[in-house]
Amino acid sequence: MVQIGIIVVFGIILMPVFIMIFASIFGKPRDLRVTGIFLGLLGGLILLGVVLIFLASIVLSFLSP
Amino acid sequence: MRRSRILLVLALLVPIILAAAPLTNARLGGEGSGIRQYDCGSSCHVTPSTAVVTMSAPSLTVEKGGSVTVTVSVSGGNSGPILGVMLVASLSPDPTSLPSAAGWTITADPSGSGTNNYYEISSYAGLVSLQWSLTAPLTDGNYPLFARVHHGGGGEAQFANNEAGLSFLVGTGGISGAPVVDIISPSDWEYVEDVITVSASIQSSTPIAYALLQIDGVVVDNKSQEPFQWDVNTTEYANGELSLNVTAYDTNGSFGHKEITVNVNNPEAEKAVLNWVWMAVGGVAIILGIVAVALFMRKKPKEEGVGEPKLSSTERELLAPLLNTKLPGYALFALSMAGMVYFIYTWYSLIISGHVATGMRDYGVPLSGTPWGIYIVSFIWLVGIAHGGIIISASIRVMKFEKYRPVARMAEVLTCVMLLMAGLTILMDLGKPDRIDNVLRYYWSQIGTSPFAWDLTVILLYTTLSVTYLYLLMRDDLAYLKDRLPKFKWIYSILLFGYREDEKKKIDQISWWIALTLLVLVALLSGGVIPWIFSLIAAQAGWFGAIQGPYYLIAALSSGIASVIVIASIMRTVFKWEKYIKLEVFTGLGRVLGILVLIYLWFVKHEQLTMQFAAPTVEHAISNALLTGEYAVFFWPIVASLLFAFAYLEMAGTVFKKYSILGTTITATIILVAFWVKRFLIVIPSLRYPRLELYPVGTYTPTLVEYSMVSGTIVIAAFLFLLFMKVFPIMDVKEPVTSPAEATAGDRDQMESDAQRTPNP
Repeated sequence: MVQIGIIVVFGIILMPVFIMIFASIFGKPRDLRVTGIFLGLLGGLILLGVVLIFLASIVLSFLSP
Repeated sequence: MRRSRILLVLALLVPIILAAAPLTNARLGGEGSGIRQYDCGSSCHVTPSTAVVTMSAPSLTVEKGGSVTVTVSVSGGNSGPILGVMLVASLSPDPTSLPSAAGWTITADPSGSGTNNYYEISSYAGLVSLQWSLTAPLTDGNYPLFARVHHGGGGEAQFANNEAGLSFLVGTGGISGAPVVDIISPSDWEYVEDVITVSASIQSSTPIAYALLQIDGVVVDNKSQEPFQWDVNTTEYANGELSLNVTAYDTNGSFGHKEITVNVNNPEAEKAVLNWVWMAVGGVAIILGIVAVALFMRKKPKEEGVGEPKLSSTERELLAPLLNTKLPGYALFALSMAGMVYFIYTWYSLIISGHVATGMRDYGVPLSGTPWGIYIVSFIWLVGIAHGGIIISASIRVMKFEKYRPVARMAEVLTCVMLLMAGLTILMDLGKPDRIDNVLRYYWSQIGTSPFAWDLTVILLYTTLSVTYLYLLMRDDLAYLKDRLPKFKWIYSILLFGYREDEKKKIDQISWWIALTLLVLVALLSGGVIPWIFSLIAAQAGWFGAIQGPYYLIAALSSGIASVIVIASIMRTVFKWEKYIKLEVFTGLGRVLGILVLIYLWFVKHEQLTMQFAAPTVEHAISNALLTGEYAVFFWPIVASLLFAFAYLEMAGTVFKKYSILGTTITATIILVAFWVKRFLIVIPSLRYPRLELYPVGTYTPTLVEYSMVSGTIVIAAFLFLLFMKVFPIMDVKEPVTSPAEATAGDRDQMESDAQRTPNP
């Protein structure tokens, strides 16, 4: 049985995000270069967030007794 | 002859010396302090006295082997200077009356150095209070102690008793074999400095579950196995008396403890110098940095190229924060930077000392605290403002509310900054923040069932979408200003990667979709991230329930709009943007805010009615605490201020002849403060009253450290906002909403009246 969190997060919450990405690719006016910049930025910022969390963890581990 | 004179002198002196001896000798009663049974071996006084003898102790319940302090006070009676006070275990005239016979051990008599049960003083003047320290017997039971006094040296020798005595309940109610704790080092009342090792020996017939070290009543650490030793850095405590308590719990739940007091005696000057040097160096570095930045910023405009595109007067007005920062602006910038440095210092100290420096403690015995405090209160408040901000901005863009467009970017920046601060607040709240990476390491195993993992997903998504949205809508302005603001050209050029002049239509289309996505997300998330944690947890009284989604959404919208009103009002006044941020922006936002506040009060009424009518006992207790209990002093002022806010904001444009932006701004500020306090009333009472009746009602008092940290996040938010304004346009420059020529007659009139009322910043 699929856990409720999987349905809530990936089935409901991220649904408008998926639609937004779909619309940015296929919606008019079409401009894949701008869409590429947008999706690259989106992915890059998420990656930056993940990296910052790991970085914060490393830095704080030096400070913690 | 001479011999007879000497004999005569001696004959005179001897009686005088003998007569004076009782006045100077410590053994006034002929016996002095000592170990005496109730009847002094049949030598005690027998005439009753009118003296009143009272006894007191901090607690009548004590663990086996635990420390007890008994205070005996005597007043009235024979006014002679000699008074003997006796502590006995019974009123029987035999050796069983000695405290030691009942199992008590006197560790200190009133002299501080002796261990006698009978203590004599030579200067009784009608009132005295004496104190004994004892160690309780090692077996369970009731153990009484009585006080008895004897007078002498005045008139007739007399005695008085405290017949009631004090009855101590020793042990844990019949569980035998509770741990016996002794602190081996340091010694009681020892003078200590620097780092000391607290070493305890624990004897128990049952395995020890854990042992706690408490310093001045605060638990600092626990250990579950030997050696029961702790290194304590005394420099973290003020000089003077410091109580050390080791409490051991065995696997049956029985416990024993030992408490001692040490005198901390660290060199004061050295500590002060270290802190002040650190602060001074930081302060000097900040001032130098500010001066350097200020000089750099001020010199650059003189070097602008002659052939480059010029800024129009409207653009110059809109770019005032970038072009014309004055001394107050730099002062504010410096102040926020100094606050940020103080925040970092405080957080570093907190990481070193641990959350023991905060008022937060765990549920239930022995700590009886609340595991969340004002960090989480502030987190909810910040996320609320962020959500409100992005809803305002997205609504303006999606629904084409053109007249509100001047405040759209302010709302977007506010959202990004507040989301970052919300994340920082969560990091502050972690006892071991260096383990934050665990939320990612175990993400896939937790996402199915943990609302916390859902929160991480959504906060990251919100932040990413908000920053992307802000950035995409700014690209056109950055491209336009790149050649007009040479000193920022290098930053703008980096940010404009892949820019083409014909991209605007596509950017607008993507931005519209992001705005729509953000609006839908807020609705799908039951009004924000927080209700996921609060409304879904059935075990938590006061939080569980479907009302939380819309309840929080209204609070978030109210906080967001109130923040935007405050920021827009400040900007309008400081930069003289009356013709861009028009009066109707405030009247419109104000009216919406008034309605939202009323809806919030409507939710409050429904919630309290449900909790009062036939809710489970603990829900009732929480509601009582808010309505009539200890939190009523916060609850009712919040209700009153929100009612006032509704009335003022709705009447401002109709009943009052002249609309006051200042009045709206003050009301919005009151709403922001009221919502912060309301968040406190959501979080803390529910944690203090756990649903499990096994747990006692907890306590929570925020410490200065917590207030400093929470204030620090606000200061950092202000710093980031100012930094953004210094580098990027805070309003659309290429396509401003209104040029001066388009200002309506009503606006011009209003501008004039505002200008008359508002002093030049």
